[in-house]
Amino acid sequence: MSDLKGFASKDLKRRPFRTILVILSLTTVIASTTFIFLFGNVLLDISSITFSTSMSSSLGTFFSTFVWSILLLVFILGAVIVSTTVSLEMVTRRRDIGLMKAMGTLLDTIFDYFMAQSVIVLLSSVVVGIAVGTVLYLLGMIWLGASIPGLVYSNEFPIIQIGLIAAVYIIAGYFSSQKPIYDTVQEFPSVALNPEVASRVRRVGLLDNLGLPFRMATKNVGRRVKGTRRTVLSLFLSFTIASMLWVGGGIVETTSESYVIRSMGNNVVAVGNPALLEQYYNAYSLYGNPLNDSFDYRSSSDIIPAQLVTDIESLLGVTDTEQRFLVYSDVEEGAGIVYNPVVEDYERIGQDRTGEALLVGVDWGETIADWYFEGMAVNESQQVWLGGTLAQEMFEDPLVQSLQFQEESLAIRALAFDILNGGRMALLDRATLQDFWGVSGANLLLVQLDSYDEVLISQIEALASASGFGIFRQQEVLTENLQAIGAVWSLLNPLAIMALLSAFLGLMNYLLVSVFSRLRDYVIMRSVGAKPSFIATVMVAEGLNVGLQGGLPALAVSVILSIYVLIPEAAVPSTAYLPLTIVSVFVAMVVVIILAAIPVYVFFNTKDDIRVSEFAS
Amino acid sequence: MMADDDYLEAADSTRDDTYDYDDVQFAVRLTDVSRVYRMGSNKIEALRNINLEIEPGQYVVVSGHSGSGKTTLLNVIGAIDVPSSGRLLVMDVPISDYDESFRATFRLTTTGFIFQSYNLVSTLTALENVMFPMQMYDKTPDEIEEVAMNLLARVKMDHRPDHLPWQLSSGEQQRVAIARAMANDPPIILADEPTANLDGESGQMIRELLSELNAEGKTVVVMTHDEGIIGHKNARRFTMENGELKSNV
Repeated sequence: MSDLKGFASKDLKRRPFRTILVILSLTTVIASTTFIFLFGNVLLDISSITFSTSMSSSLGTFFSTFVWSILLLVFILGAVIVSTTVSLEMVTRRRDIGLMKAMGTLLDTIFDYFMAQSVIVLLSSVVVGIAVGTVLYLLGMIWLGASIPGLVYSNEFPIIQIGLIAAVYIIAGYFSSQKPIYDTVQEFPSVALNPEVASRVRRVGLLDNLGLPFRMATKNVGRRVKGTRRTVLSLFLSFTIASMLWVGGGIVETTSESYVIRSMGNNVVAVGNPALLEQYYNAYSLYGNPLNDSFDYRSSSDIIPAQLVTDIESLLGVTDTEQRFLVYSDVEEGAGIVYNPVVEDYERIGQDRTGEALLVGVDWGETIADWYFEGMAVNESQQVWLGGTLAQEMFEDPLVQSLQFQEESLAIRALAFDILNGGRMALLDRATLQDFWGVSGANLLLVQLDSYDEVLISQIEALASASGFGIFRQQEVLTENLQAIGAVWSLLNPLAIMALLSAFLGLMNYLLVSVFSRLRDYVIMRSVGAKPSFIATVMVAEGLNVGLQGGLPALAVSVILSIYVLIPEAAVPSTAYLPLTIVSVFVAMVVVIILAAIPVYVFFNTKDDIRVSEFAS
Repeated sequence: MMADDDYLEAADSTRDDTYDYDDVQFAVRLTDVSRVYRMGSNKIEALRNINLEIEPGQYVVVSGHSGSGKTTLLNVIGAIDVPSSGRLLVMDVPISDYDESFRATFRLTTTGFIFQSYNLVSTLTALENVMFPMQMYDKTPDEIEEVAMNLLARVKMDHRPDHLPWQLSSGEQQRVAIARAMANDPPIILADEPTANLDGESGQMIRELLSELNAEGKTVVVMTHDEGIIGHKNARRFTMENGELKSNV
């Protein structure tokens, strides 16, 4: 076996161009997918911490679903590309295998010989690829720390993930190379020596109407069915990832921004005790601090006089006002009864957990907010909506449980999206909340303006000051939050580019393998009068043929997934957003395909030596 | 240099039904043509100072041992290879002075090449292989298919137009290759050992086809060991030996 390995490595050295090409291709693909996977894990961490804990758990779930979907695709993509590349490489050795069989070499010896070559290529690519991917990941982490210093994420060296990636790539590559070698070893030497025999050719293709090069490409692509299918699959995955990150990422960003705007309201100025406003809006910022026991504004001096509300409402440019009553209070998990199908009986759930939360008393019929919620609307005064984190941390199955405070019990109707106090909050009927504490009036007045006009805001501030209150420009916090969301999702852009890079490498390798396996056909075409540019155009057409077979379904799937599956109540910035994004992703796809075809294009445009006899069988 | 379009126009003007070569003095003219290959420090002189004049409509046969330079000579005449030195005119055109793009156009319109190993494109059917050079020449699709079918009929292959090369016998592949060589109705047919891999019956059919083409006025240049071709009644016979061309007449 050691002799065999020696022969195998010598054989690889004798084919330096092809060997380097395969190792380079595998290495770059492994490096890029390793980087995407490791860096994606960090992004997941960031989005989980930033969104899951700050926002509602339901939102956190779909952020996690979105990023996990991407990571899963990346993982599958890496395995598919590694197996495709190794498999394609071994397919190109069919004739050599046939030759060895024809000479009488034992089947085991042939199998070991080519597996040794495959393992050498695979191991060297995996080691170098993962090393490069890890370095890229570390550079990404440095960039992350420098670009968004406020973000929180765990920063442990991902040794387990790296080990997992290496194991999967090696196993996928090993078994993928085994199959074509094993299949060829089992064939008759005459068949292996003449790979054309019994090959079928697809007659009709998607782009045939575009001209002769495209019709030729259809036949070329249609001939290597297995190799083409795997390449199409890997391209589908690459383009799906890129499309999901661009189309879906944009939708997720817009949707989350929309949720924040809906919960906070647009063009709002808040009026209240200056200390209350400071603490309240600090707790409304994604990077702010949660409330604590010091948030206590129930005294009569904190209650906003009715006259002040009337005066502000009468100002020109004020479109709406809303009075809220805020209390920071101890709360307790109320039990719920659910049917247990295993024991076929009802059982009690809930552990009577206790905690603290901001209770927001609103007038449901007049609130300026339009929260995204999962559950049912409130239709009685003794009902409540929970913020995501409160529901997640204190309840087992919140929608069948109750929230208890001050010895009162409120039925939980829904989980609401609101980033206030990191989601440790509850919304309930204002009058009910006031009754519990024996308070009449509100300690927070939200004033919605026609536009954020400084003159008008000054008038409101003057009125508030006259009554001993202050104002807070809520729009500033809203803008800051939207920027924070944008910053987190902008981190996804490098991943989209890396996914496109994977597609580029996969397709380039496919085309190069395709060219070298059919060099003779191309030389024959040249010898009967085809210009170099024609052959090069056939290669670009072949790239487009294969690339679009993977790319178009990827685009459709990612749009559908993003809108209908991964993101509830998906929002888009404008009606033109989807068409424009789809077009831009499509253009990026075509650019990637054309770039991948450049090496073969250059090869054929510069190769003047077409002595056919050299390639004669 | 002549532009591609100008040449195509000129080439078209020389190709009417009667092959009137009034304007062309020599179909092929080689003056002191040499072809040297370098493989590392080794220098291989495949062609040595070849001088050859072939008039339009002649039937030229070159024989010689393997490695004597026959294929190289044919490749040079067919613009598949270029001479290292010397002057080469095909249909009075100094083809080696032009770039590969022009030479491709020249091959498409002026020479029909028949290879020893047939060299059909493996992904194309028999009909498509014959259609391919015409498609490159921008003829109308209907015309192309009709002409290609007629050519297949002429080589008695019209019963298997949709077969891929691997589904055809050696003789059938060579007949398709001849049909392809005739595709754009070129004035010159170049054949490299066209009968070497064929049985007696197939070989005879090829010999007859080459004779017919010559009888129609095409210039035919054949590199062969086949006595049947060498013995052609109108043949000008040459022998290649160590890269040198010797006349047998």
